[in-house]
Amino acid sequence: MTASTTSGAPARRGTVKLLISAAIGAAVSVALGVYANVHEPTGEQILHGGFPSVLSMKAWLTTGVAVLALAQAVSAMWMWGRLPRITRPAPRWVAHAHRWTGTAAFLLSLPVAYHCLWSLGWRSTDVRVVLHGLLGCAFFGAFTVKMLALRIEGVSKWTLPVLGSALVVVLTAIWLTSSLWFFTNVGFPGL
Amino acid sequence: MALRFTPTVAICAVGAVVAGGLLALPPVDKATQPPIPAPPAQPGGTPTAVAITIENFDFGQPRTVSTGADVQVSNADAEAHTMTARNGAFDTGSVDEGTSVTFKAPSVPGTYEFYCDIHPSMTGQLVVD
Repeated sequence: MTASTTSGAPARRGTVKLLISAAIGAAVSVALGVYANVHEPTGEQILHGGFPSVLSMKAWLTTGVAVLALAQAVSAMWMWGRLPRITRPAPRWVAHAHRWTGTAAFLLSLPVAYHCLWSLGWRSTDVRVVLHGLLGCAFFGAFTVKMLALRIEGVSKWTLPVLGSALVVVLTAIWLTSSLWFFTNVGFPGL
Repeated sequence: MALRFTPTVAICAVGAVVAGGLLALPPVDKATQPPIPAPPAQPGGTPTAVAITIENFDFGQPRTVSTGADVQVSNADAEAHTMTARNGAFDTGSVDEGTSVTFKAPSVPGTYEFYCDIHPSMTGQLVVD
């Protein structure tokens, strides 16, 4: 009885903290959406370091983020023992690689998001653009929740895999509604 | 929930703060940007040339031109744009930032719907009379 009570309390605390994290993540997403909507789009370019245009840079940076997200998924599956045909436990470097690929993906996404929000703003003239805007805002909210959830004790064991999978799915959808559109409508490789 | 500042968390936090700060920046003062040259004057007897300037992702429509007139499309934005007729009557191709492209207006009067092939949400009408 005592053991049950003891194990139940941390779990409840973990759930409450997870809900608070989800609320913070939702606030991040909504704040970005509101900013994009109320901010007057500048229509100006940002540095596109060697790429022929800002759009080309964004398409390739987003592709880089998507590839890193794939690496994240594979390394996470290995760490959780879910990688097909790999039976040995993940060595320590896999955890390090997971953290650093995640950090790199986040940093690569910043200039893309910055240009979307500051220069283009919220647009609702076609389905692709609306979806892309919603997914972009959702990504940073989900990323916030994942980062906070990593530090919560007592949450269900499915929490991190679900949050990580959600991030990979959202990033894939972002790539489909931006980079793939660019490569098929403007040109490939667009360099 | 102890938020330990591991190197990766610290890097992400710094990146987020920098990006957030940059989002608060106002647009660059347009007055400091070089003006786009006006279209060349046409000799007498020929249709009057018309200039269209794309600015802030806007074609500045509506526009009316004479049949066969030169239409100079200047791009004052920082992104490449196109001015592409939906019925294929004209297409500037990619007009890079700060440059201009001239095409002949259609010889058949009418209202021509056009859009930017790179940013399909940019649309407009060219009235040819």
